[in-house]
Amino acid sequence: MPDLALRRWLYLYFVLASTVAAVTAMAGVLRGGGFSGGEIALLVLFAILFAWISASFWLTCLGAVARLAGVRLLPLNAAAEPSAARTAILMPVYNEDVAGVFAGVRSIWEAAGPDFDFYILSDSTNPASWIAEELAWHRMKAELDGAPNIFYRHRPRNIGRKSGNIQDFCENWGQLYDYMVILDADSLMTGRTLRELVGLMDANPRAALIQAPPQLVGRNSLFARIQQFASSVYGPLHTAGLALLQGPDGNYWGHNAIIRVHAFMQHCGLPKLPGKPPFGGEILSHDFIEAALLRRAGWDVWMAPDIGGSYEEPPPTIPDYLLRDRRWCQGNLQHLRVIFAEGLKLPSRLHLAMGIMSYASSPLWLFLLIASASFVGAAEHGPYYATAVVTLVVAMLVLLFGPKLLALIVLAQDEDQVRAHGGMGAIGWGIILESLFSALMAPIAMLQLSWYILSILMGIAVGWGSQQRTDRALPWRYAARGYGIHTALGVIGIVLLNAFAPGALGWFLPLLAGLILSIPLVVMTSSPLLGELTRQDGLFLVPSERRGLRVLDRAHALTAAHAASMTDVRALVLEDPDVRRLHLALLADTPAPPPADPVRLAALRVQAARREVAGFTREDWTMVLCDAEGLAALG
Amino acid sequence: MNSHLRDISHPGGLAAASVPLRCHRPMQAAALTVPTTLSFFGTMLMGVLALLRGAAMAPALLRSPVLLRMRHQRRA
Repeated sequence: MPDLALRRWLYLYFVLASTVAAVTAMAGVLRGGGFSGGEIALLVLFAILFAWISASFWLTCLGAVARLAGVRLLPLNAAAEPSAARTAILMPVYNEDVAGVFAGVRSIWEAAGPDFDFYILSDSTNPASWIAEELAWHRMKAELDGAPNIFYRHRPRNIGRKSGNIQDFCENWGQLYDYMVILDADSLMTGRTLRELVGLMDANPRAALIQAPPQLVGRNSLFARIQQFASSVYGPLHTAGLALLQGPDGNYWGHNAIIRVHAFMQHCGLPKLPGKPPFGGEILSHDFIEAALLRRAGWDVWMAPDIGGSYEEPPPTIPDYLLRDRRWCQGNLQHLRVIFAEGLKLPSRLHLAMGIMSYASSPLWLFLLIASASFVGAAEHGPYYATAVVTLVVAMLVLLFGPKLLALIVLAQDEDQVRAHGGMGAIGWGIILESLFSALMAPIAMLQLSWYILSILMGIAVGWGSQQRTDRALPWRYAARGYGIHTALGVIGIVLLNAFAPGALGWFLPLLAGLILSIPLVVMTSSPLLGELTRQDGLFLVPSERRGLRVLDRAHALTAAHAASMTDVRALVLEDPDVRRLHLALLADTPAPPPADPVRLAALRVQAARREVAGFTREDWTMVLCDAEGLAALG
Repeated sequence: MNSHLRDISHPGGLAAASVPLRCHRPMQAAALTVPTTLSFFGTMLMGVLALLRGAAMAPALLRSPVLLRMRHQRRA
């Protein structure tokens, strides 16, 4: 494999050459003698979007070549001797499913043993989650014979969101550790992978961060199973291509990564951006920025595509997926304010630009489609424009579906992997059905993301709430409320095309079909039952389903065992002296700030003493639960 | 009422400390010089102007002899 610079130049050449060829061809068919302003705009849009998907296509091609040739993707060796380094495993949580979070921590703890310290770093603002976390932590410690290396910290004020949570850890306990492994609430990692990451850091003192790309596993809805299958089949090509182009200029995906603590503390204190949200204020998508800051300071940031043993769960439904995209979209668009910051390396700027483009491409696609439709509809332009649309669609199809074919070819070389995915027949059908689903979902996502961008540009910021991570079948009424507008726009599109450009209707039908079918698509893909039926039919199988995955199976068993005890337990602090003592002991470790409204607190204390809590709001509960003095007075 | 913790309590009683002793040291704020709104929009404006200039040149470029010949051949 050529060296890093040559790989990058080759890649750039392929992307640019294919884009220039496509744009030239497109320009040639558009018009013979000069261009109108609209046509130039169409060409520019076409060029940007073709370059965008061509970049993804060539990345996959590079990944496929690397996989077929058996190229080593991470040019680092791990230390052979056992590590003397101290590593903390951090699980930041924010109003998450408590049973699931603690099951995950315990499963990793059981896999990793005593080599690591575990910190559950709670930023939960929901008092019910807070108390449930305390009880779950206590239960887990009791069941694990005290487990002195599992810690729990609740932060009374959620300053700086997740990056503030990590910063709080670093400032209080960071000096105790050489490395930290950041997890997400639904992350899982095996003990072998954690130890290997530590060994890699030990042997490579210039490395500040190694990202272990997480594989999607563990959910049962049809939507989640399709994503898991896509991640398992197509993911290895994508990560291989990325690793070969990035080299030490890697990126950070926010979790499932090991970080050198002192480098992080020295360079990754994030500034607040000037101005108000959505573009100003706290940096929301902090991970890309942190990787860029580490690179700027001369540290290496790597990705380890083949390390394995790194997992996360996908969102269970289309609305959950799009809701997560709403936050990421705002976070990535905010990078427009940082992308020109002084001193950042070019690859870091490109990471930021790609992140922005992954959302900005949606409205551009929408403009392109509308522009194409209107040109096709204009009678005086005749058949040339229809040909342009055909060219565009065919080229796009090759770029979009070519990587899937490459993934099939690469997977077919590995008999073990073929068996783990249910055999070639199952993989082939899986790819066909996944492609059909992707084609239907693409216009829904395009419309939704375009709306997100418009709303963000209008200054409408969103919060950074907790995610819905559990499988559940969505009711038709819910889907109709959320996606009625998509359906209506699909129908309007058909009516307009039929009236003004009937010749183009056939070309736009696949796009409009996604919109028109959005409601049933949302409902059906949310179904765990359909997920199970497809599993029984051998469709969308991934290795963790075929062979089991110890760390995942254990987490699921623990979640099921403890889910029932995680009901609303706030009142137990008042009613049960043992729970109150536990809460007060934890409160002493992380004291809450003084109450903002002492008069209100005095009234709440009286009500709490009488157990008259039926009318308590969430804020009331928070005040009472932060009030160590008042709770201690209860006895 | 029955204690919620009774069945899960460790024989040693409540867990001693939820976190290790703190060893405070602040993180260093990154000197991330973020462009001002004016310079940001200035940069954007320059980019748009460059794009427009490029777009204005496109028709002339596309009437180059090579491309014209390609078009004629295709139509022929």
